Amino acid sequence: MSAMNTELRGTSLREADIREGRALVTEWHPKALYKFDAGIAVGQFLDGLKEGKLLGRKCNASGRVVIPPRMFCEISFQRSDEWVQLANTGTVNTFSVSFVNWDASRRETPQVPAVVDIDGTNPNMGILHLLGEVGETLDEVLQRVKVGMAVEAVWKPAEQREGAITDILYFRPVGGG
Amino acid sequence: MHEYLTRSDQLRQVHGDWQVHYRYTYGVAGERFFRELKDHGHLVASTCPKTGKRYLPPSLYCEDTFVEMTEYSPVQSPGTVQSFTVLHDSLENEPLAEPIVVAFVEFDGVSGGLLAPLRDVKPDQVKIGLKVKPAIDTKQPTNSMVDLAWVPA
Repeated sequence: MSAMNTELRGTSLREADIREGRALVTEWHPKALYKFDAGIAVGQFLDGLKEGKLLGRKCNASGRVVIPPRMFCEISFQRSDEWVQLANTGTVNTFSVSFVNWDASRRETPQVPAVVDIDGTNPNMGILHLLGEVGETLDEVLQRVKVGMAVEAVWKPAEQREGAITDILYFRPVGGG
Repeated sequence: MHEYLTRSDQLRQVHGDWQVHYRYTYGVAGERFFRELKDHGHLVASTCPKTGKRYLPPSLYCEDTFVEMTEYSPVQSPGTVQSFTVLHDSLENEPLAEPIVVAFVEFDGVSGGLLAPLRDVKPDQVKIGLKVKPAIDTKQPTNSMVDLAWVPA
């Protein structure tokens, strides 16, 4: 493998490393046509996001409130019963500090993906999103972000929301970064 | 009480064609794993210098202590089948001439395990708890998991 890149974190690879056999690879060209139907539960959830609401689904038999919502409760094996509007707040269940984007390009400042357990749902019931206002360097982020930290959603302005999870820009520590 | 969508504007459907041609590089620990597989025909685990916990497949950092792992050592056969499934169709949904048994195998004292085809055992004779050892293709390696299979120990 090539020498460590000293400017950015991690181990960098160049085309030549693969071509000249210094790095092993698996290659594949899958055919990945898709048609995704959001379904009733997630469809409503997305409509809720457009209105700036986090909607969960409650099962009276098991007492569970789940988000993202499902119409079926896998604990009671029954259809769930009602929609519940949840608070904009939650706690950090787990987080990561990432210096790469989804397309593997590098970042100068970290992105902080986190699972946020939404208040009013059952434990370990959360959505994967981003944390914001938590620092520009690894040290800052690690100092400010703790598992169990209280966070709140920061929404896009109403006129820019489109019924997507990105209608929430990020979650930030309650009371601001 | 069932709920139905009653208006077409409530339909939320997304079409797409993912251009997901990819080249997967294995990372520091994965690279070491496949080099050892190809060059020495054995499976290596990484060991946490703090706790001694061993990881298979090896990873770069210990998930308990977050410490970087640099020690790699072969796992001792036999391994034990912890779970298995019998495949009758290919990835392209074509029926297979012969079913393929795929088994998840763990090794004593090692955290994790590996999934690979199990050869030389008839599907109706596979059992959880079966002792197996790796059969590794070092002659024409593809440097991927396809090079690994299990056979009875």
